[in-house]
Amino acid sequence: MIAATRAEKAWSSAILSVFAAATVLPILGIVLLSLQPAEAQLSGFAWPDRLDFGNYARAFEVAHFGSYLTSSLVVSIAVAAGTVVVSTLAGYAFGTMRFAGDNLLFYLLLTGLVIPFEAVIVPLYVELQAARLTNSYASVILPLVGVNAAFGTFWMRAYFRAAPRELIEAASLDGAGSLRILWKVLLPGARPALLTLVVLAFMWSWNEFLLPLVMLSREDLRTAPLGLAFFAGRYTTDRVGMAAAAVMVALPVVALFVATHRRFVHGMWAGALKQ
Amino acid sequence: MSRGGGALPYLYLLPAFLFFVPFVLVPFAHTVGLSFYDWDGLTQAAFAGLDNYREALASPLVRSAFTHALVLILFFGLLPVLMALPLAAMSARTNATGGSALRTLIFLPQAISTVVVGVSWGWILALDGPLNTGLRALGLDGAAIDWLGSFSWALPSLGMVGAWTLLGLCVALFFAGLQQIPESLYDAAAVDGAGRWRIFRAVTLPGLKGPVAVALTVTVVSALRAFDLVFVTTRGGPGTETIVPGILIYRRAFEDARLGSAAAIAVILAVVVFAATWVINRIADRKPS
Amino acid sequence: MSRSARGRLSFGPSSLVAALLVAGLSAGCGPNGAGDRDGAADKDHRTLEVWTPESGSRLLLVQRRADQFAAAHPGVAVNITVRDFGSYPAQLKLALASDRPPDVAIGNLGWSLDGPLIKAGLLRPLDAWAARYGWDKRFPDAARAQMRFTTDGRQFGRGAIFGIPYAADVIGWFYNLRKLAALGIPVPATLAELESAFETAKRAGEVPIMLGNKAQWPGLHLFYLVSGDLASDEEINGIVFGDRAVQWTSPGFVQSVRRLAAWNAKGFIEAGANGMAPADALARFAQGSGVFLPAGSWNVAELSAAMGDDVAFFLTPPLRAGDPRRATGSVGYGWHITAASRQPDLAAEFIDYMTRDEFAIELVAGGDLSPLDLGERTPPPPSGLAGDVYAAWQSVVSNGTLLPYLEFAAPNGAEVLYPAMQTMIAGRETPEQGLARIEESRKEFLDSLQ
Repeated sequence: MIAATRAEKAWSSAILSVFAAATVLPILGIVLLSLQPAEAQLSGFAWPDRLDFGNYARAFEVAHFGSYLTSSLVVSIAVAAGTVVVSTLAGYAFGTMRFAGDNLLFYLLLTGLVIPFEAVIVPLYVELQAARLTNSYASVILPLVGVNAAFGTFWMRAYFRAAPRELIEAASLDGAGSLRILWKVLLPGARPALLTLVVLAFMWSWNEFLLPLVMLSREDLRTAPLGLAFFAGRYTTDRVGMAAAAVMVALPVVALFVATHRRFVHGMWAGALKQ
Repeated sequence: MSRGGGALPYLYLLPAFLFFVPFVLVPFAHTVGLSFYDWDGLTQAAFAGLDNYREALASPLVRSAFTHALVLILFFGLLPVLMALPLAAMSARTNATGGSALRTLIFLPQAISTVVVGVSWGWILALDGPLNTGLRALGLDGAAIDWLGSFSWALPSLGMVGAWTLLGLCVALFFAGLQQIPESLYDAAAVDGAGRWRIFRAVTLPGLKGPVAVALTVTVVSALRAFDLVFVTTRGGPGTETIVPGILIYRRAFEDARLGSAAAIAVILAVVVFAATWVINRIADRKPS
Repeated sequence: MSRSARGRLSFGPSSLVAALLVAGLSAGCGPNGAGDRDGAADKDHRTLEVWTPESGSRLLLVQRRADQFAAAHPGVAVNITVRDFGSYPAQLKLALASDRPPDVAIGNLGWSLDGPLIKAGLLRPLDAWAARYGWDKRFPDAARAQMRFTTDGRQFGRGAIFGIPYAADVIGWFYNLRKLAALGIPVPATLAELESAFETAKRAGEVPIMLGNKAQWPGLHLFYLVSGDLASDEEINGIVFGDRAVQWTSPGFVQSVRRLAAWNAKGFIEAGANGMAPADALARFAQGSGVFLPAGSWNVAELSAAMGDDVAFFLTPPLRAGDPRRATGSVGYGWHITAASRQPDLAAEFIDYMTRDEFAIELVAGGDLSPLDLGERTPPPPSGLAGDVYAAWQSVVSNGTLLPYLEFAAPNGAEVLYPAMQTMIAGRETPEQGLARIEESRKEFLDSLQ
């Protein structure tokens, strides 16, 4: 590559900064809005005279956000855990073993990546309603693990396929069973891939809207995005409250992302591009 | 690759399929079946053959839903991809300081729930919201309209929100992809005396085919699905200007009790998604000339 | 009529049943209404399951009264499930189809909700209890048609009694008295005067009509305020009660839409209406934005609390001064007994309790409207605004000029009717085009009833 000149570097930084700023500005605006006192009639981005966390307190007390956040936490952790377990197991099989129908089964699973949720939600609702499972966390957790299993398996399979054969063969020659191999030999090195999968699964299920919208009408089970949507729909004039609620819904995942982004990004793109 | 011992591989697959089959595959098959019936969710269903499909394909509302989705594809897919290419290229070439931090910031919207995105932008784009305040401050009073309440601008506004959300994903994908292009290719081109533009076209772009395919797949599917954002901002209005297939399916199934019709639209949506994914990846897989 | 609200829910916890559903391609089997239910409740302890979409002060009133009912009937408990108005129809339908259906449910008149439920055989005819408790005698003539439906679910306004209403409503104009005075506008007595009031307000830089049409149905309510004057009884009743000889494209409706489009073109309607939620518009009006607010009578409490004596209410003035005013309104949605209920007599007792004079008195004392004529027992209105609303309601009831909501005519307003209104008002579609589309959708619906 032709070396970049100093001027180019400067331009590059400048342009990237502009885009970064443009991207972040709306987010910043909402955060600032959430810190405004409740009576403020805001029409623009403005630095608040004083930081008022009252809106957050209000969202917790009046709008039950404590309950929404808890629900989201329960669901997202369960889904992330479930996804990692089933995807690792299935990805291991697809990635290291050959068996009748392996290709067919894999492509079948892959269809889960392209089936839009809208095409599944109606019968899913009817079936779960008939099984008396609607209005329970299970009605959201189980389908989400199902959908994530598609991507997760695809992901872990890629990792296991790239794992060095010699390690596996050596271990099996030593008499280790497949489970042992998975646990002792392959998993330790799989941390980046696993971390990426956990973060993605957590993020996707935290942000999931349509499924909980349909399945959870019980107030005490509603997840955070759902709570936010109804809060915004009901208290349309309480903009600062809405901003505080929005920040609370977004914060956990954003924090998780920022905390893991280096490893996550590295793991993600390396994995994605191996395909 | 070890020869799977009998049932062992299937045992490993069992947990994943135990979730996937009953909660994704079977309901999808069920949707396909349901699309051939007329059902209100209460009484016995009546076989309707291809009626639901005929009605959907003839209905102006369904057609405009898909047309709107197409418009969103341009905003969600084409726009971010086109903007991300130069941004990623710049970032990769110059390896500017703080590049990683900047790219992380641009990626941030991806981590934010679409409901939060919708609610937030709903405020920003309001008639008395920050965007218009800014426009008025610049003297552009005429441009300070009710963006999400405008018949002409609601859909493009939602499109821009989508572009904002997805730009970072494309930049990150392309940046990583650029790292993968071997230096040797660039060196060879430089030796051949190729100019910057030639190098971009001959080395960079082909090398990015994979990431571009991934980016287009994700963004196009995002646009076709687009339920959350519309639901939280315009719900399909004003009039029917921002109706998208997802909203139509939800409304027909859960508000109008026309489950068979909702299923038919869902099947059409799934077919379109499959087709788009297939096309994108076929083009990407074509051997470079 | 629609409201947006959210209430507390009480719903039994579901058990974690094994979830391996191998449903296969057996699509089309609807869940059956009556499953095998566990043994009948023992006679000492009975629970009445009630569903309602109410909110705000009405909901509190209903809950209070239900508690009193339970107290008056030892061994009986009343369990109320609340869902917000928007999702109520869909949720109720699914609850009725499940194996734990409610005993009592509020519906919504005509085809908007009752029709489909009756057609599916989910609601019981109430004539026997109506005779016993005298329900059919309680309500004014204007109300009686709206309580009836044929048992095959095909015709609204005739046939058996299905719903017993308890809270009435009427659509009219709230207006800012102080602004009118400041602008030197007398309270309009004819439609023409109303329009010139808009003109004057506009010229003075005020927003003549404050409207939040993001939800799309407020536009339809604005339409009602005009169609009351410009469309005939035959046209309106024809649409609502399913008379195929009457169509949406008839002159009265065309003129009404045209008038609204003209108002919009002249800038009388709030510029940001399409992006503004109804609650927003209400709040802004309460804070002093806008001269007139087209809205339903149920907003009395909020507006009088915020604006005190600055706000008043009237119905659309007539074409000719002195003519009786016409308005769209209803006796409100009704209490129904579900077909699946195992305790219909208890349910009937409950409904009677909820629709008696005592409840009506409390309702009116709070500023709301009751479908009953309480005569001397009518409590004084709690505010000037409530007094206006009450007087308006009384006038249309006694003049027989209460018009039914056109929304009652079909179940899927959100799909064609509301968006088309919005498009026509904005001038994006001519009245002929939009009304033709609405008529086509209506025709499909009527055909499906055959």
